Amino acid sequence: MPIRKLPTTFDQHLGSVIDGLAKSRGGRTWLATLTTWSEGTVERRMTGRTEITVKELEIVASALSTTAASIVSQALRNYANGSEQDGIDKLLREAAPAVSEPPTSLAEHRFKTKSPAHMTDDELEGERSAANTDPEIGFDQPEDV
Amino acid sequence: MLRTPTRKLDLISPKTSRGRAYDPWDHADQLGIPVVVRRLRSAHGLWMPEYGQILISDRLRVGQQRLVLSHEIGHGVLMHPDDRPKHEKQADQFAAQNLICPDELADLYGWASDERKIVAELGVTTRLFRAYVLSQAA
Repeated sequence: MPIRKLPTTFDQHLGSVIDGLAKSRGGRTWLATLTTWSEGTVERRMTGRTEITVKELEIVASALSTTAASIVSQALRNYANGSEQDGIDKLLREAAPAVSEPPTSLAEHRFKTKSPAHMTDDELEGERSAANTDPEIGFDQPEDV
Repeated sequence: MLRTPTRKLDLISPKTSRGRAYDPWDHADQLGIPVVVRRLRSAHGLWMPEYGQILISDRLRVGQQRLVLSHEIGHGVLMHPDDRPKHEKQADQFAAQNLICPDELADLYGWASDERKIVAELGVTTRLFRAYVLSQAA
């Protein structure tokens, strides 16, 4: 018996739900007739290799006597192995680009930014500045004090 | 990007006194420019354009800090991005116009003709005094 690969992405779960609902009505051949897709296109949608559009989902849901929302809800629950909200959260987490944690407030961000008051001499010299070096102004204390 | 203003600025704040009564610390406060006194390796004072802050060396005497701060405020008010010679000259003129009161100088000219004596009496440096004279001549 061939080993069936379990769905992992949301698209795969969505295809899997539709695939399961279509089984009793004639499976992928029936879906291909209904949607006027080729069997190859149906196979790509059911395995999640190609995304299903909302319009296609509505056609399929109507033919299966259900709604697009019900199919998506089931796919989300399967995807997260939990609630529909868990599925949405997981989807958002995976869709979000990898960015660093934002500071909790602008004030905190400013606090974290090193101010010239706390920079080392080397850091100060790396910053853009206008320096006063009037030779008539002498130091009052030796440099190593 | 910070730019040097092209229009001629009124260099003297109407809220500050001139000459010996000029207080650059008060002036910086009025302008909302933070001033930090700290150890500086190679300068008496620094204007940090990207932070809008002035740093003053803690190794200077109080009177010297006053002169340096007056100069750095000039950089700040004129929004100088660096210390190219033109900016240094402008900052010196800004400081000199606040540090030197024309009436005091007129009195001094009455009894002291030597530049060193005038400079000493005014409590400024020769560079600042000359910047003042040049700004008046312009």
